[in-house]
Amino acid sequence: MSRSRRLPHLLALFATAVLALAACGSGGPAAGGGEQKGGKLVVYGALHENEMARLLKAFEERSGIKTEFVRLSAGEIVARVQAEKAKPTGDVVLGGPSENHQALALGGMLQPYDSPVAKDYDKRFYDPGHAWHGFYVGALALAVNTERWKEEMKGRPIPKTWDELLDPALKDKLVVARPDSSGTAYNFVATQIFRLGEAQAWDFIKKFDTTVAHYTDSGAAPARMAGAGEYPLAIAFGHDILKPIEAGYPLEIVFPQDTGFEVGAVSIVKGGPNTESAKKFVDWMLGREAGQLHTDLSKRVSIRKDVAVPDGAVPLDQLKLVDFDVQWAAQNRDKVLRAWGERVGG
Amino acid sequence: MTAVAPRPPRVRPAPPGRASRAARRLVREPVTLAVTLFIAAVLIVFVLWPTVNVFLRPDAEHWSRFLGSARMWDVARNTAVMTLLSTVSATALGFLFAYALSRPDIPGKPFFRIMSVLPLVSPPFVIGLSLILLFGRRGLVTYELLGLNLDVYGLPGLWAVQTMAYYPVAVLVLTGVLRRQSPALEWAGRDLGHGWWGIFRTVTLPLAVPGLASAGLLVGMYVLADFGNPLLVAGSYRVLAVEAYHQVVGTFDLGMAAVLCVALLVPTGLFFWLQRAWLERRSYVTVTGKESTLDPVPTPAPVRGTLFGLLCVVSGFMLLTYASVFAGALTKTWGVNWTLTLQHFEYTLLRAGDLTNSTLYAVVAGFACAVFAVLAAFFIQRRPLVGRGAMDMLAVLPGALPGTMIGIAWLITFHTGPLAITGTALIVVLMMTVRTLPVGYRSGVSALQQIGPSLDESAQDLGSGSLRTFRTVMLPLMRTAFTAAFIYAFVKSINTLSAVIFLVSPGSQLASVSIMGLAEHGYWGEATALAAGLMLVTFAALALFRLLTGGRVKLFEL
Repeated sequence: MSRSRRLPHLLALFATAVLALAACGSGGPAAGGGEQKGGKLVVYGALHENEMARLLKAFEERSGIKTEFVRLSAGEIVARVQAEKAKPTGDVVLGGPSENHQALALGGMLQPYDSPVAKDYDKRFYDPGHAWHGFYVGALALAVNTERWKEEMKGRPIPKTWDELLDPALKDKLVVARPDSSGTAYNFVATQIFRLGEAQAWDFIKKFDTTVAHYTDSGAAPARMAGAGEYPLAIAFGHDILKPIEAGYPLEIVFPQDTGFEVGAVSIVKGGPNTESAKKFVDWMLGREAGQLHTDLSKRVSIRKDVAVPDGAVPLDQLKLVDFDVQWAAQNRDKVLRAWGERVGG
Repeated sequence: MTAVAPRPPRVRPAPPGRASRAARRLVREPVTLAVTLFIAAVLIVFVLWPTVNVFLRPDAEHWSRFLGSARMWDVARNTAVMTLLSTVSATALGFLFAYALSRPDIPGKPFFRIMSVLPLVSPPFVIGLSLILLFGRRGLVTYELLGLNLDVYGLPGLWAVQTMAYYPVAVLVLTGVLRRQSPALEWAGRDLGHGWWGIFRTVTLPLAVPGLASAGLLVGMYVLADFGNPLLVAGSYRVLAVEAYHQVVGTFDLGMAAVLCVALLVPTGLFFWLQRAWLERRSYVTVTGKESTLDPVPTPAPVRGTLFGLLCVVSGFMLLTYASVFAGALTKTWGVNWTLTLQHFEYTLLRAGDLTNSTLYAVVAGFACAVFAVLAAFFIQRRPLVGRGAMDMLAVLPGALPGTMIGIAWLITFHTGPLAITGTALIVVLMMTVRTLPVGYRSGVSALQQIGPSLDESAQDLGSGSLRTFRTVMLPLMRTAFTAAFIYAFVKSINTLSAVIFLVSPGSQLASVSIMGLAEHGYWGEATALAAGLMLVTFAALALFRLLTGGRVKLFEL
């Protein structure tokens, strides 16, 4: 009977799979945390998927330390690290505005580490307690799809200020991310609060909701959507707009007056499974080699003087920035998000 | 005491000595007890406990916040509207498709059948992905070819996507129903002077009503639980599954997420229960044992042409959908720069670990599901000790639970506490196993129904224990059910998204979750390349299984 021979085939297949799984699993993060010899460094990253993959590959080659990562938006990382507080499974939080890192630091969830590489860094770019260190800066900007704008808005001038975005003619013309999941969008909401004061800021955000066609999860996605012509306008960090421009999308960057900015940071999760490897990673990430690679991949402006400003990027000192209080933004994150959820909610 | 005696409950009187026989068997066969306890433990820990936790987790504050929020009511209403629209259209399309497939005089059926099955064996959000590529604001068809400016984000786009994604479910149910209809009834209608339309209206359609209802309820369950498509194309049109996801990833508010899960579970549970009730009633029996040898009434040429045209249009659309995924993977920047490139596939190689994980976990889960399902079917049906009804219910319960809800339930249950296994590969594989258990279990049960108890009893009389009977007598006879459960569980697991998205960790990342992330960020090239890779692996695996089983085990008639 030819049938009876099928089952052994399947059994063999299964046995192979189990063995392979066991082989893979042995390198994975074990439950319980603590220091492990030779464990894989687990990175929660808010950078773009392919930037993460390439950066970590370079780190693996340089250090011999194996890595694993998940790409999440900055707010999602905050939620995840908070959720795992009792049993951290991540080691490093890579990227995303520093107010998100600071929110974790306030909750006692980051491991302070005074990296020797950051010795001569400007004080603005790291937490005084060394809970996080910045490695890039960027300002919020408006991405305008010039082709689509011409088609749809018929000679209307491109908006140059935040307040011009409340124009009823712009109804459903703009995409931006949700502040609970995206660090970019939280930076945007906080910027309005610093610019207008709390009460008026909520007025602005409520009216602004009419301009928004829809809210995405990731802060960089709106720039790509506007780039692809799905919407004429998007709000994102300047570097996230520069990337689709380089890919050939017809976008123009506008930095409104009193715009917000981020210090993109890296930090170590307290009690993560591989804290020693995490320190090595932070040292590497803050160094020149990673700084250059990261800027090449992402068009973000490095805080290192020895990494050239990428073509088309605008250094922060040439912009009129809002007085951005990272500490306030970190302390009031939950409150602001709840208020946003009640008033707008995506 | 009241004067009216209560009606005696309709239970079969237990044969004398049955209880004592069971007790004796227990003593003689500790194995049966051990296996039953094992099955019960698995079902309680991985099905019952998480489900109960979803109800226990939210407190009064969560409920009042949900009920008092105008926005949440909007979300609930959106979900209802979406379910109604997509279910009706998908079921209607599925019926037409199945009707055409059941007519012997329509050419090219094998091809059309494969087309109708494709969405069931590919990731559920592929259609949403291709909708954006083809019909989005800068879609290939709408913008490049027709010069239109269509906004696909929102209800209309979601409706179209879900109709195309879930009509195959209706086709699956309804081809069976329509094929069982006796041609003799049609001929009778014709002899009474009816034309095609008359027969269709007075014979075919009314006889298909229970099937239609059953198909509709099943489609409704799928639509309600759909997560990937709304996340991709619904835009600001929020539905419950996506909202619950945001409660978890955005703020990790598990209480609120649990409330939304309960809101999602109520209609799904109702559909599930109704569907089972329909299936069990089967009052419109046309299979009488006296099989008719008649051919169905010939379909008039205009109707035939229309049906054939419909099949062509739907299948053409399906082909276009899949072609666009592969085209997207090979195009430099979709919508702007149509140069061909392999750079996205190069990126796929960088993420090959996700594909390996997906494949490996799905194989292990497939096997675990098949073993457990067949074992559970045998011991629950043939060696019932206690709580047979309850165990039977628990084994099929995961089929009624939306993926989002199971995912959140597991996160609540296994994140902390005695069984803290989140962040491991184990939890992902277990999730895949439990999610596919109901289908495996049912195929085990229906296989058992075809095996007379006498075989089983003779083995016992010859002194064979439960496990030995299972291994030497039942398992060989249930091999087809076993293989079917394995293949089904594999295909479902490799493509699953809605539940595992809550459980993956850096070490156990899955391709389906990565694809979703890439697509959500607008990395169409990378997303489609990885999706293409996942589909190729699935199709290759299906071909391999077909080869190994000699084409005997048919999954979805493929």
